[in-house]
Amino acid sequence: MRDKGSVSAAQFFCVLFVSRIIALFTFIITDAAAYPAGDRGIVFLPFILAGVLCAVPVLLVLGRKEDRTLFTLTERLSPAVTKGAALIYTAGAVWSAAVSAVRFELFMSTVMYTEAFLTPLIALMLGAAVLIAARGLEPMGRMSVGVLALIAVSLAYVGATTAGEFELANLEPPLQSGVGTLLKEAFFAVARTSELATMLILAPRIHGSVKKGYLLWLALFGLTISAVFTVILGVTGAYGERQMFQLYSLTVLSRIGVIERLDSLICAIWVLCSLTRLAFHLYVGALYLEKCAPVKPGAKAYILLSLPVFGLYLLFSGKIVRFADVLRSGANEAVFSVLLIGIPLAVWAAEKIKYRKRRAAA
Amino acid sequence: MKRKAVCMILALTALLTALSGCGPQSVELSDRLIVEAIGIDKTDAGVLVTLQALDTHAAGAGSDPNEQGQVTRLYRFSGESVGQALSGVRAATGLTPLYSQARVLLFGRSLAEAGLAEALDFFLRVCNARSDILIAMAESAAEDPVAADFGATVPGAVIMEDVLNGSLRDGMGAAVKLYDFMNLTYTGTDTAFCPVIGIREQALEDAQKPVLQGTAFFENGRLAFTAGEDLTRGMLFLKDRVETGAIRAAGENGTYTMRIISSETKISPTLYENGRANARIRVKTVCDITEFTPKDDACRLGEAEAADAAAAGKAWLEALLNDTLSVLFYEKHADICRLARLVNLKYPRLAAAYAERMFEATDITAEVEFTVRRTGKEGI
Repeated sequence: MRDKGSVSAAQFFCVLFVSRIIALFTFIITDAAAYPAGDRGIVFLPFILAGVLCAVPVLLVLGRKEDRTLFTLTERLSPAVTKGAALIYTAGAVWSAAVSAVRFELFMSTVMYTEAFLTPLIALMLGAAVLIAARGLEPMGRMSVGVLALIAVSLAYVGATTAGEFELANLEPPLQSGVGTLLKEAFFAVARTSELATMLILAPRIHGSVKKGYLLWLALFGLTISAVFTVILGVTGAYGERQMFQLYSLTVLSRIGVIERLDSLICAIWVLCSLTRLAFHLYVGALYLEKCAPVKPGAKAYILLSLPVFGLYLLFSGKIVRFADVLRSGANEAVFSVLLIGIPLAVWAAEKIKYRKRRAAA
Repeated sequence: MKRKAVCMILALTALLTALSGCGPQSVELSDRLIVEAIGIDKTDAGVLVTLQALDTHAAGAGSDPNEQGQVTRLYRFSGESVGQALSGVRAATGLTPLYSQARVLLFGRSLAEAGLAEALDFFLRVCNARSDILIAMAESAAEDPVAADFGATVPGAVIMEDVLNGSLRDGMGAAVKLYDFMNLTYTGTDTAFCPVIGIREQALEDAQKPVLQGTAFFENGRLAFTAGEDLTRGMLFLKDRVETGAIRAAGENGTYTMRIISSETKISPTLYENGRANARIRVKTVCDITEFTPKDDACRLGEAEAADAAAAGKAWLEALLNDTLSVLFYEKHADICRLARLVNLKYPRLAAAYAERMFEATDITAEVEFTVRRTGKEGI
């Protein structure tokens, strides 16, 4: 039987897909000028490009055999660097999990249980996420395969049942604000994929080629983004542009004969996505925490991490203006740039310099 | 092992609390005011909202309607805005309103003239309303059709919904959903529209019936003008929204009544360097002859008659399209074909300048391909 802490490349990228797609489902346009509607249909092309470019530092760290982690390199530099980097990545995982929880609460309290006090639900979800994370990566991978199948079926259902309402005149021409805006939009889309940083620590636990899997993931996810937004725009047009949760607005319209309003069932699938995202961030956060904690926390790490996640969630819970300000401020992009580009590049370069100096001295 | 058992007991205890369904916050079906139709009228003080809601006790009793002989009850609420008016529903009825079951949303003519944006905004924001509800403008006050007695043991909203939906099937009325109406309102270049519904006395029964009275067109969310049945029909052909319906056309051999089997419309605009545009509209309609009144009694329904019917149908449809374009597009300046949007998609850099002088700078050619597939049950 395979180790529960290791996973096949396909399963790993399924986890990543499910974890990332909930951010797409609950996507809120905080700055319409930054995301022109016409560009969203072709965003997959620059998304793939930006995804490849942003992953270069990670791939440099992993090396050709993909058997290293970021901490293989930091340990060669100094234990302090290892602890410092691990602490930053732990904070990053906590931040991503908290943002997911807030976003999910905002979604649920907007479309399903208006103005309801959902903190107990989020606490319950965090508890469930702790349990899932404690089971390990492989069970999480298996769960994600199932959830992904449900997502595919639900998206196909929504697409097929609203196809009759699709109007070409609802679409917008691409590149109205120039190529620069499109590239910026693609970077924002990649930057919302904080999960990519997990490759820095999980790569040796993944069976199969991480690079190939990553490219395939980028292509599939990019196409999914473009297809989903094209259908939303084609069906709901300018009305959809004014909705907080655009995909949800589309699911409300889907119906076959007397079967309608399946949005509640679709939302149930989204709950599973959120759960997977929370569990995945807690799992990876615990791996980072192990590297910086003075004593190995073991399974308690998941509970320990869930506390700051819940604390951050409480800070933003019910304060949509403050949360929107945080999103608009580019905090997510900054976290992503530090975790996926800044630190890996710095560590890789420092390790190379040190290696060369040592070789020159020898 | 002991710790595991404690964890299990705690988890099961937590699960028990999640399984409970009856609490002070939960809303039972009997606590719901299930809204079937909504009517909004403008008043001096703000708005009057009329709700037709299911009388759950009468409806649950099967064929036994309430003392008024109906399965619904009427409620009227006033306020400065729709939201404010409806905030009093619970206090007045003791029930929590459920708007997601509502079938039709009507607004009065005076409200349409004053502007709809604010009144409709409530239904786009409130979580248990549905964005795909059918909307229509009442001939006069929205309260009238919502409160009308249609003499049936089904809610009046069901009958109005059937009339609005059926209108599209008959190709006689432009049924439109709330989200689509708002989409056309928001774009800035499109002309939003919705059907006009009125009530008439039934000839032999002591009851009323809902009737369609053409289409209302809006500019910037305000009523601009209304159009009759023929123009509505022409618009439906131009907008590719004809599903079925009947056509009556006179040919050389007689008069034909034809049932539309399918109709498809394609619009392709071309913008020239001089700023003028040509919009080519191609309508492909397939029909079946259901009735034939020959000029001479001996005439049978054969291939010659089928060709004659197709020619008559084509001429009828071409005239209808040209009349519709002449009145709605050129005279009333209603972009019913969404030409500005299509030009924007094809020529994005020139679209803004074109949209400003679209009605003067566009030549439209409507081409009709009319096919008679069958001649009733006999076939040819």
